[in-house]
Amino acid sequence: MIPALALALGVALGLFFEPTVPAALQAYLPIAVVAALDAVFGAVRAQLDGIFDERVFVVSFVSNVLVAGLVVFLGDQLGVGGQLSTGVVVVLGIRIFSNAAAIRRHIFRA
Amino acid sequence: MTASTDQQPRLDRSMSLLVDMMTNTLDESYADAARRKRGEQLSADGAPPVARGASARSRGTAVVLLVTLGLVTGIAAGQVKRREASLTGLRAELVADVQQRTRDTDALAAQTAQLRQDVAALQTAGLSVGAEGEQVARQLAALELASGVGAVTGEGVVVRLDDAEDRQGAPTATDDGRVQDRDVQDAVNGLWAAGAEAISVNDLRLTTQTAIRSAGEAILVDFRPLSPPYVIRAIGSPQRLQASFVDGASGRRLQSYTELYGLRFAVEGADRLRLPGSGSPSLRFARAEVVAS
Repeated sequence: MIPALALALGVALGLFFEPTVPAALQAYLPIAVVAALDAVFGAVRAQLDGIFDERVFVVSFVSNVLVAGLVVFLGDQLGVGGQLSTGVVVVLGIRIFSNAAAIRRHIFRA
Repeated sequence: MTASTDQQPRLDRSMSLLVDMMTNTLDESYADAARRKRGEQLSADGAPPVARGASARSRGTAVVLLVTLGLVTGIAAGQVKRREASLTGLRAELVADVQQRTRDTDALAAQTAQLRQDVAALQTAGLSVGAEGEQVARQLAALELASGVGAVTGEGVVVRLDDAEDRQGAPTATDDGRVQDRDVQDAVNGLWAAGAEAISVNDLRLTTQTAIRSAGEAILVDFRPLSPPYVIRAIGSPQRLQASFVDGASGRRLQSYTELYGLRFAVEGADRLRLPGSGSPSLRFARAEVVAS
């Protein structure tokens, strides 16, 4: 409940205040979101498996975002930023979907 | 051939990365942490207070991270929305600007035509006194005819050039089926060679300074973009023009394009054509020579 509220609060704040982000960071926002979503789905699944641990969640969240950002940054420096962000989104997307499927199996038993 | 022993290697062993990605989707550290916790609980009955404090701190961090995630998501979504809004706003502004400029140009063109008529009327009035004036007026008329400045009428031919059609009657998308600037140049040059005295393309009179060229897919005549069909009117003897243009090199070339690419090309005689004048050419270096009488 609290995590969902926290998420909703963050979205509302971001949409309401529309803070300006430095242009150099703008390309990384979507990647950071997808990487963080992967950590969140993993956490939800772990919660349902009964093995959730806050420390692991925090570490995986931060490292996911940092690594995804780093990969895309490196890609930008090498001139393949677009392709690498596609790759990151695909890989993380697959994980998100498999975790979502596991969560679904937990909840609906189907 | 292949290893068919009891321990058969997986067919997809070369794609272990993909398999890992699909099967081990949950971070293994969750399982590790759970195992550790169970171990601690087994060794020391009841969780130690230090771990509980660390867990509370981690929980706070987790909530902060979730708020941050939501914040970043909101910012990114807001940005996309704003970018779209600015793009469509820019486009609408440009469209309005173009329409306004087109209206301005039309108004100015109408004004130019009016002023030109006034000048012509004043010229006729000024030159209609005396034999010398009439001679100058005749000379002026001849020069205007030759230079393409003044409007002219007479019999001649009309040449129509149009892009190829596909079977549905829609304009083709291929470059081959489109009338190119050099086709129009070719037709115009052929007409001049066949003895045309004045030529206009889509009601733009050609002078010695008129360029026929292309910019992108559009053909520019006198730097004004035209759209098909291209109607080339030429004043001259219809029989002679038709005969020597159609049988000439450029006429035959255009005819072959109709067979090769489906270009549409037609020539017909006309009893009475009126070609507009081009307006005064802007001479930048040439000066009229003053002959002392």
